Amino acid sequence: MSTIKLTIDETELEVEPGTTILEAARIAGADIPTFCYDPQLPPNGACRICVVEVEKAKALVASCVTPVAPGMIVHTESERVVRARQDILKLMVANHPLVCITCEKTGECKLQDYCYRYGITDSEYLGEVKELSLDDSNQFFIRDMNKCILCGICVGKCQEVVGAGAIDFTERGFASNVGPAYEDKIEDSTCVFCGLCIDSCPVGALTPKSGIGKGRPWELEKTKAICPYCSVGCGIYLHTHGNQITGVTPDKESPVNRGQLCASGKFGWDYQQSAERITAPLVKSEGVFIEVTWEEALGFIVDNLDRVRKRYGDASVMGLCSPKVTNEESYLFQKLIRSMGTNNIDSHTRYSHVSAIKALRQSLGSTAMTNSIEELVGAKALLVIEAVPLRTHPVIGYRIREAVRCGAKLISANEKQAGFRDIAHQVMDLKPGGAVVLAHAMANVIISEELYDHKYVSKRTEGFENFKKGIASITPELAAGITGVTAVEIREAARIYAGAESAAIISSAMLNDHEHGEELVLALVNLALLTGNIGKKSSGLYLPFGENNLQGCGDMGIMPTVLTGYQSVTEKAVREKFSHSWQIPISKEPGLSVDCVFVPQDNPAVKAMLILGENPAACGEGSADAINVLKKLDFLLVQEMFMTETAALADVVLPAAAFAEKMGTYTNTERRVQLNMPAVDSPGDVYPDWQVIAELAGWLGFEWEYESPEDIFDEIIALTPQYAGINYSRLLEQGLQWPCKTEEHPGTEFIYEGRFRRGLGLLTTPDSNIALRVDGNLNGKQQSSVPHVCGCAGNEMKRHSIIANLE
Amino acid sequence: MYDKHLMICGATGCLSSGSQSVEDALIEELEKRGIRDKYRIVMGGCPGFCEVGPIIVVYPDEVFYCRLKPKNMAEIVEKHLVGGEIVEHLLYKGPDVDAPSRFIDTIPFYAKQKFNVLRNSGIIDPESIDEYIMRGGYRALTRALQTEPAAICEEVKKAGLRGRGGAGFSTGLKWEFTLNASGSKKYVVCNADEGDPGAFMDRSILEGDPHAILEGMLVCGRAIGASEGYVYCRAEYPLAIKRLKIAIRQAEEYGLLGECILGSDFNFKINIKEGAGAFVCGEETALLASIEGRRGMPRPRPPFPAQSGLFGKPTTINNVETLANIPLILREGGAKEFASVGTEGSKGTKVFALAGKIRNTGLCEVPMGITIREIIYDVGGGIKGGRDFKAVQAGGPSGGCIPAEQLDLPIDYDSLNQAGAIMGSGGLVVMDDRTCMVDLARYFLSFTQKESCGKCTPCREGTKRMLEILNRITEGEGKPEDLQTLDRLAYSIKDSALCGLGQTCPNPVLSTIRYFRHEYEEHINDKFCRAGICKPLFNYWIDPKKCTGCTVCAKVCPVNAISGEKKGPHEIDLDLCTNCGSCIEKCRFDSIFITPVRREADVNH
Amino acid sequence: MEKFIDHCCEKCTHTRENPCKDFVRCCVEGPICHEDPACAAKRKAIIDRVAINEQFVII
Repeated sequence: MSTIKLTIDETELEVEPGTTILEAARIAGADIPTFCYDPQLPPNGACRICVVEVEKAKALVASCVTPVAPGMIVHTESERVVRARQDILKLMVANHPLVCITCEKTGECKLQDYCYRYGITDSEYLGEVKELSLDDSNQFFIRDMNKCILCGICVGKCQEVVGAGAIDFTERGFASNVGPAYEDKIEDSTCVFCGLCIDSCPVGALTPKSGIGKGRPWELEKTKAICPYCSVGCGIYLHTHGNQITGVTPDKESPVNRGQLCASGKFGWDYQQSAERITAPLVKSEGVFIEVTWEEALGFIVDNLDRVRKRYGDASVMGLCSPKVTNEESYLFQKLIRSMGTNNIDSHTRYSHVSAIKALRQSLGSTAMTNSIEELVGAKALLVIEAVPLRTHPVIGYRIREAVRCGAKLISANEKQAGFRDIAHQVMDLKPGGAVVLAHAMANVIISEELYDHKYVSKRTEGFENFKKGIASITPELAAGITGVTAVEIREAARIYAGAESAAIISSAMLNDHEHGEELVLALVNLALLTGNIGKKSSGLYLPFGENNLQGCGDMGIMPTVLTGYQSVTEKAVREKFSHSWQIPISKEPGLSVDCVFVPQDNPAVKAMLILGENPAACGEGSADAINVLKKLDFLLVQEMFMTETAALADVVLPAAAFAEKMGTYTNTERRVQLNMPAVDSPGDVYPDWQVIAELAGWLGFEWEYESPEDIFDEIIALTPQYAGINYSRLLEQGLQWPCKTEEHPGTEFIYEGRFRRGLGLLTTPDSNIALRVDGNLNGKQQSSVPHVCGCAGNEMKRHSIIANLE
Repeated sequence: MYDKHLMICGATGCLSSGSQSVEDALIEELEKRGIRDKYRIVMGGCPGFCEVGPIIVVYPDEVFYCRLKPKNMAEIVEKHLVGGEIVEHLLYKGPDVDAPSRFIDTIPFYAKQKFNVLRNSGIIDPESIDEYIMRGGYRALTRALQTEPAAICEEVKKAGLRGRGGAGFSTGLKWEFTLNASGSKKYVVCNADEGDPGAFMDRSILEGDPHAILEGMLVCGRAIGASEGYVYCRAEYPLAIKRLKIAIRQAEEYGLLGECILGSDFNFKINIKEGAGAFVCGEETALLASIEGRRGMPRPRPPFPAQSGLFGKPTTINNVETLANIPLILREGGAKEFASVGTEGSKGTKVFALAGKIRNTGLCEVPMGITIREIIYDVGGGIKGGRDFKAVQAGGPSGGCIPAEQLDLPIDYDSLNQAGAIMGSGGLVVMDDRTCMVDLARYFLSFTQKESCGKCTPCREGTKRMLEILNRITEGEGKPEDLQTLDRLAYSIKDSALCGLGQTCPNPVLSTIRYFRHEYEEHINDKFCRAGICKPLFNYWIDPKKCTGCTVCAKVCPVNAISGEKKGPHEIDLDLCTNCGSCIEKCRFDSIFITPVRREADVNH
Repeated sequence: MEKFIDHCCEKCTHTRENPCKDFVRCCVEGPICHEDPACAAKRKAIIDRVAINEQFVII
């Protein structure tokens, strides 16, 4: 298609057909004001401030919605345009409380800015003004609709992007307003407090309560950080005044969240200021904790560790590392444990993911997520199965909605409500356990109707013949009764998934409670492999991890069998490489894993534990066993922000820092390494965790020299091939997705383009009794429960934050 | 076989004048005499002359009885039906005829009219599909099924039919755009929202001849490749909705709606969607949003409905009157006949609703090209009470006023546009010197402000501010800069509003200022409303020299503000007077004047 | 034959499930597919019952 030539303000330019005048004007360098325009929503054309003069047109046209035409001559600041804009501003000002002096938006308000630009000092259109009562009903933000200019962006975000549908336009004429139905308070509506409306509002109608009175916008410092809650790892800005965080706004430039957040990211940072934080080292003396100095604490720790190691051997020490601390800290922690001569290092929290991890390792060879979150928008078909992304990973939920807006067909198959009913092409209300049978039945259809990718299956997979035999009995008709979905629907879903140019499966990695979690993931991998939907853009499997750095935690070797980058401890060359760098020998025995240790046993091998930020004593069903194990320990060191159930059992508690207080990198679920900058100092006698670990290492006799987290990271990349090309200078610009093997490499959007980690993808033949087992379990325990994001450790942050009230 | 057919007007207008009781009385009288079965009684559509309703037209005798009351039925039955003699005193009488008129052909109201769209109204039983078929109905559909869609569009184009909803866009061209749009699912939508206050042209067609709309939609569907249609009818027209439902059911029964219509490969289904009380839903894109179940707010165009309309599919939206013309045009030889009437740029006829200070209120259908003067004086019978013509508002809240000096403008889309007025949907509100132009503008603006959907700033806020200024002016609080402010604001709103409602709502203000600026100035500077409408801005004054002391005014004054002896001059106590106007209306001696507040008469009323 | 949709005799086949392309014209001018004065008279009876005058029917 040929380009279109037009003239804007005397400048000639050529643009693609379909470009709006507004977009073309920006290319030409003209700054057209906008209120209701938002690049994430379809153009609205409501506020009319963007009107421009087009020669030969009868009236002024709204540049945000008008496409260019050949030979168009546009004037963006003619007298006629300026007059119209001035009148629009005067009309807005006449119905807007002019309380700029104390308004929190002052200095960042579009209405203010445009009035300044167009010289609006007063309005000759004064008259009646709105007198609506403030909605001050909730803890998070205030809605002052007297300031609202009815641009409609908040409505668009709430209805389209997030799908919560809490607000819409109400009334009409002068009484027009934006709010929940029936004039309910926002508290009583379906609002999920994601904050998108607040962050999009061009004026001061929506104000987070946390920042009120805490500083004018120009007085605040804004530090680029990464949200510490889920594994999406949204880019955020922490606003601080002095040493206090006053609020959070999303990073509009982040390729991960593009200016969007959820309630956790937007409001969940306040735990950092909690009075309940541990602010000094604590040593237990006669059953009671007393505050001590760092020297006293470290000395005490070293004495005890030496004693235990001497008496029971190096392998009696174990380290548990939270998937919420930085890569640098995870790395140092496992280096510390391994320096003590054992590979007993693991993450308790990761065990909520163990079924998915096992299944992915088995079938593909690695657990790394196949594609990036942004690619979801380009998928033509989406299968959401046993996942509630709008609750667990809201930004992924937003992308799914966006994909559907772009024409994708969505199949939503869940036991619980996933919240996609309004946009899904098919909604399947599954019976408990039905998901795995549904997946098998879909595979059955794909094979029997010859919908699979023959070439891909023969070149990239193994196990097809066996699989074909094994799947033959799980027909849609058989599955219908067990899953609660009709055979017709199953066939349709299979055809949609297999027939799409690129299709993605979104499920959950936190399937531990799920009776058939491992089998479900294997079945989903089967579907993707059969249809060639791994290894290309906008396809793949999305089983997002729970915690923010669960990916990084694994990458950094918090596992008894591997070092960083999943390099096996049993390989001599690997041990030698690390040994050389660390200047200490590395044990060739794989260490103990959590599931070996946290079980009832008479003679436990582990006598001392170092726990960084984990809470096994409060992890749900396994808590009782965990408490017993912990109580039996000879020595327990816990590093924590709050006095958790586990910390209460410790001999020593060292205070931990919050994400906002330390520099470091986190790796999100799409393998993206992102740099988090500290915004405030830690309270009391608290230090960044990496410094504490390094200090402890020094006291234990290891000579580490790290001046900053960057030094740690430089060491990591030298030892970890997947991270080799990543460094802090690059990360200051933007996050990078591993594998990134050289400094020139841009990072890897999607993986498995050529081969899988294990070579060929494995098609796993289903257990022949699966249908019976699922069917028979219908009256048994609850089959699937998708836990809230952040497993145990994230729950601790939430407990001390106002977002706990959202549960 | 019946002896006679009595067509009673059962349209909403006459129903509110009591035509139901008239019918009941008629039936009672016939039953009393045991002759009910000899006469066919039909509550039909509107014959147009609402001023003289209730109306009964007797066929085949061709007698037009009007201004009927239930008590007249005995006489009609006895004298006319049984006795064969016309009841003279129930015929049409008026200052425009020397003797009572027997039938439509001698009633001046009808002289210049031409019935295209209203061809069946009042002649058939609207609930009978058979009668519609007898009148040539569904022949256009039969012919269209044997004609190529592109050829149908071409015929409509050649006929010169332009959208009757107000915009005046070439109907055939609109159909052609939709025909050429890509996609297999397309829609036809009939805009029956008729929101202009006082307009009831579409209502009469829907109530009186609903099959005409169905046929129009079917032909449109065939022409553009649509298989489904919606009639978006305002909920305030329950009779129209009822008639449409009956008509659809009948058409389905006859196989004229449904699948493989008349053996062709054309399928068509019509749904009815009721409006929910929003004027803005007469705007195309807001209407589509409403059908889709969303809030009725317009959206920007492009994309135009012809490319992406209802549910994102190519859609043609046509007004009721436009569609009612289609069966005429598409029947054999119809296009040529249609184009033989009207002007070069505006073919065919237009239905107008005459309201206001005109003698003959009601509906009329006239050929395009007729002048406004002819409509007002010949068809409309001139100004009520013999007063002077002041202006006529055409196009409702979107239109402008046409003053006396423009009375010879022909009814033609382009001529009216050039004169700064619009045809609009056809509502004509006639005004005499007792109409205040400022108040008129205020009235229309208060309507549009309430109906503004609220989406765009200029309309939502701007109409409110213009209304506030007009309110102030009519309350005597006008400021010297008000006219300038109104002017500036009106132009800004017109120039930047999003949809037709916003873009045209300043028109009444602009046109009244243009032609009646002196009235505004009088209101603002002199605080005087010479039409005697804006209550704080005038007093009534009895001229003692002209007063005959008949005491009629004192008797009708509801607050006893008038005192005086019989045969002596009367006086109004201004402290008690509420300016209700009863006295001036009753005075037969022209002795009551409208004066500026607390000043002697210096102006004749 | 009370209404046009009723069949004038067994030769008439028009129903909505099985339409006849000449149905509309046939209502007033028919029968078209066969000759039968009785059938024509049936149609005329329907018309005469409601035709208010001689100009009522339009072909």
